[in-house]
Amino acid sequence: MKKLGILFFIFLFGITGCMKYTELNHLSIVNTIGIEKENNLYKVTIAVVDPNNYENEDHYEKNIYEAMGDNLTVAFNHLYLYLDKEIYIEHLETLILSNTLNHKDIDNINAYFNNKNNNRNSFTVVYTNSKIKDIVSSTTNINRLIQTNSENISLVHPLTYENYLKVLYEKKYSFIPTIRWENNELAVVGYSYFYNNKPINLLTQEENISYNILNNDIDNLNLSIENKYYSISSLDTTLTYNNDKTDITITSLIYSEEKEYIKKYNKYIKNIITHFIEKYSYFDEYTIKTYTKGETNEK
Amino acid sequence: MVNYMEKLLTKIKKDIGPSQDFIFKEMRFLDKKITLIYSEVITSTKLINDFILKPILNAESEKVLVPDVYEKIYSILPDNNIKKAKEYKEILTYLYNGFCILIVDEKALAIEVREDLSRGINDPTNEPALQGPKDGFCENINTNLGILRKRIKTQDLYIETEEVGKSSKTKVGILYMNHICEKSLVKEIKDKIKKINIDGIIDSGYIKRYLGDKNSFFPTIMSTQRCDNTAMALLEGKVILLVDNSCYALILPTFFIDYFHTPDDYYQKYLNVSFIRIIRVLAFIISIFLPAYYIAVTTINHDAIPVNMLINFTTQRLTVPFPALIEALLMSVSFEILRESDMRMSNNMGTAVAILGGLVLGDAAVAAGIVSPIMIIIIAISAISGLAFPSIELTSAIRWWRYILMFLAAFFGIYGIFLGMLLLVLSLARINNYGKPYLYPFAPFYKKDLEDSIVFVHQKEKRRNKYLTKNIIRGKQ
Repeated sequence: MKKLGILFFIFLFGITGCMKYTELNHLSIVNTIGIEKENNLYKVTIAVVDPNNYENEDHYEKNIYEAMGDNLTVAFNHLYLYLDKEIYIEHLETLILSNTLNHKDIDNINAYFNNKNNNRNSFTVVYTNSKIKDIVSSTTNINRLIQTNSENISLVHPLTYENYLKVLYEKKYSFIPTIRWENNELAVVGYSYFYNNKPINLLTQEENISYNILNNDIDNLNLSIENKYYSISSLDTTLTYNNDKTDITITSLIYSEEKEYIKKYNKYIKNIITHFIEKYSYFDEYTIKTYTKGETNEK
Repeated sequence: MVNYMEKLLTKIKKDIGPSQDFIFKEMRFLDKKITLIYSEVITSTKLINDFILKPILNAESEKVLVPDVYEKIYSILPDNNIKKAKEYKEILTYLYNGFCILIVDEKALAIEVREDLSRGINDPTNEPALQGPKDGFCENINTNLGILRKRIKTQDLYIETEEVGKSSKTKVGILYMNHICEKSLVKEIKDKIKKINIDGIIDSGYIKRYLGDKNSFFPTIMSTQRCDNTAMALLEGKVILLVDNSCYALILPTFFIDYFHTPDDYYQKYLNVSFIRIIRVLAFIISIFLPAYYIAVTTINHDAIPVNMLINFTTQRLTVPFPALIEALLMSVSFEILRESDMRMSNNMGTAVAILGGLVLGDAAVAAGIVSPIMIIIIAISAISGLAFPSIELTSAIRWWRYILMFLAAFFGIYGIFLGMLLLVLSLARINNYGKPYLYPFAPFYKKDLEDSIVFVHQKEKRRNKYLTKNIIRGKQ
């Protein structure tokens, strides 16, 4: 019994966190990681929160560190040339992937993060054509930028690393929110389409909306159809799988009771979604039904 | 005869030694020499005058000769507690118990003239009653028994007494309701009391050590100053021990959940009581687990708290040179020292100690970078939560488990806390509580008795604990 007890404690020391005991003040809390390729080497850029100058999640200072290596592990290890504290990525908020990465690099990045068992998969993934350092150094909160966009104009919706992997392994493709550094400001561009981790193209505005509709990620949508303004206060999409066929039902609530107006809206929605599905082979067989309820403020 | 009396007095004087409180008063009654012996510190001079000297002087003035002076004195004394001491040993026992010894020829009478040295019935200072009766036990066992008799006026309240302590010869009262309490339980307690081999019982706390579970931090015997609490326990089928010279009654056996209840609970609306009981359970959990959780999340499981909080904690810990465990131990020990000093000081100085320790030292420690403000908050919340219970034994048990959990958290993180939780439950479940399950009604689970555990719906007024008695329904004789 005593031997069992001793063995139990030895195992406990091994399997629990005892081995990763680190005091809080010995951690470099990383909130953003950007990865790009330069001269055939991986270049990792990290933003480390400066706890001495942290007021709240919107007002804080961060220190930027860059390191290069022929693989990600080496690149991350090279960061210790500049850091006096352990890199802590368990609370990572954003992972930025550069357009300089090819599909093999993205495979390697996925493998690297999948093999690290100490990070959460709830950080968001974004893609960019701009220089990583510009984006990482920006004072704009990337997650907040995408979230605000989603809530107001529904161009893009935040993509967590967990969902990114799920879609990637199920369907081989992914749509990653894309941002750009232009005129010294961060801007949301839309989704970038990836097939087998290979970046293919940037989606158009209609395609962005269609993707969000199909994923039921529309919070608030404003459209201009044939020079008429449409404000959609609620849009709910249901996907029903019937053998190999997918029945798509879209229920909308718009601020108008005019029949012609509603008819045009339904037609538009059907058109853009059909176009999106056909272009990206999103479903093999499908039907689209739209139910739109008009409503005015006068009651 | 005179020789025999002289010999007896010499022997008594020799046995009591140089003690100056014993008075030897010689007088004559109907031409016979009689001697009064008493201790002036434990007897009442007024009682001696009124109930011994005055009747003797009145009888003496009548000048009626009687054949047996001893019997005459026995018959004229109006005191209701007069004993004929037949053996020398008895004389000494009575003498030390507040009796006056009257020696006539070779015979001795012991007349009770005990001075009431107790401080009377006062408020229970350590268990203040917010509502309900304010009378607390005092150091006089007879007064305490009287208080209980006043509350339970039935022949079913049995009071048995034992004498414990070779030197102190302390009277221990064993009280129980004959028609409710299990006979086997009473017998077991009596047997244990009889086996106590000690020279003196100074307080009921001495007995507790012999009757409770020695291997557990948690209390199995409840000490209380409150008479209503004791009367409630009697009616539940528990056994009460009253010890002379102690203002604390002992209630046994008790269950874990009993320590989360107070007598006041039964004088208030059940919704309010349920809320307060939930708060007490929360206080118990916070007190044991909060410092451990803080240590775990700041040293091993950093991902268990939101990032803002993590950065906030980091900012506060930047200047602290100690690991979180040492910092927590430093603060906990400081608090224990502060509490101990505050308890031992008089009230006036206690306030100064609290201000100096709580405000000045706390603030200075943070300013000097020895501890972080968050650690002061954690330890203060934890310590205050531990004081939410009237039982000092429970507070001590909480303190031990808090330290155990802190070490487990520092070595194993949140796994360690779960391991500690498991050990805590195991240690509670294995407590030897006179054969009664300590964790009842949670383990073994009994839904009906849960009605008076954490959430309160006045169940205690209707039903008794099935592990205490077979007479479960209240009001049934």
